[in-house]
Amino acid sequence: MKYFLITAFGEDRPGIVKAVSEVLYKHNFNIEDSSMTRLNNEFTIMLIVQTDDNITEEQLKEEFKKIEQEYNLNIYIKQIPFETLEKSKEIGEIYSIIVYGADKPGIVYKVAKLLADKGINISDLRTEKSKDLYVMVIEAEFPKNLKIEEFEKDIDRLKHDINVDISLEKIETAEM
Amino acid sequence: MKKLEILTYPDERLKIKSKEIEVFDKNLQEFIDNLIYTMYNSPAGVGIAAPQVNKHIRAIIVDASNYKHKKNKINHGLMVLCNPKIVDKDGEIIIREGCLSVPDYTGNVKRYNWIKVEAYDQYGKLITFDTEGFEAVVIQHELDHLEGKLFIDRISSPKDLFRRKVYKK
Repeated sequence: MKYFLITAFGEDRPGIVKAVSEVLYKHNFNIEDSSMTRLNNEFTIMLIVQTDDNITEEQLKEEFKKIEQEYNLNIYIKQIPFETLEKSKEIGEIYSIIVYGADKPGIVYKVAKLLADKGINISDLRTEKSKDLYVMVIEAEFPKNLKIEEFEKDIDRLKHDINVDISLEKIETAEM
Repeated sequence: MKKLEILTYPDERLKIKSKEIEVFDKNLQEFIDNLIYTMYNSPAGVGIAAPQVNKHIRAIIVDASNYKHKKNKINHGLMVLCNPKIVDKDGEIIIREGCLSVPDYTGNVKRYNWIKVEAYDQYGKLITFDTEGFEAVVIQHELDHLEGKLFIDRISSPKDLFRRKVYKK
């Protein structure tokens, strides 16, 4: 069993997902995880794929050559060693952090720096910008030993420093 | 009492529409007891519907009292609701929902924030009440099960569906 990371991007047009997934389908790949989205006018694809075929990185690159030219895409392929794949690991609490305010340089960096300093691991981050309003939504894993009351104080300080609003919410799910 | 087996997606039986209860007898009450037991013995279980254990009758169990949630302000404790109907509704609320029948995903679903409910208990006695927030969400989630619907059917964008990246034993 082999796993590959594939990224592909190019100017948006109909058919990009079809072209990429067609190559994968023909070679019996499973798409294990994916993010496919349009950023401005560039369509971007990130995939983790899996196959039972004994195909190499080089061979896979060859397979994508044709659509790379036809759709004017940049494609990157990397084999992922089995050991680095997501394992059943225990992580701390999951929080959602929403940051919004007037657009200015450094919002992402300063928030990310605080998180990194505290050992908080970002699992998902998206930003949106419309006119002057900048919005960032983060999902992150907090280490078990992090003191939330203290972290909330850090957040308050950061809010004043860069003049944005930040809300912090623990993500809890009830089973129904 | 025994813990009943919970059907999980893609089991087609989750898609069957449940039938009205017509007889409120010992068999029903015994089944309800087992359904309550099954809910309480599922981690973070706050609600369950009969079709989730492969019994396609219109019965749901709700108990929002043990769950800490900032939108959980009022609740009626343990409730058995047979043939439940929403007779009035208002507002909207979005809560991250998990489902015993869809164990690998959670999702943000838009629901009514306030509902008025008419139902019968397991002995056939009429109950009417209104509720809001978290408890109202649980009731609407369970009512969907009676129609053969899952929360995934109500997701409005891919950003509202989340794969559980934490593995529970």
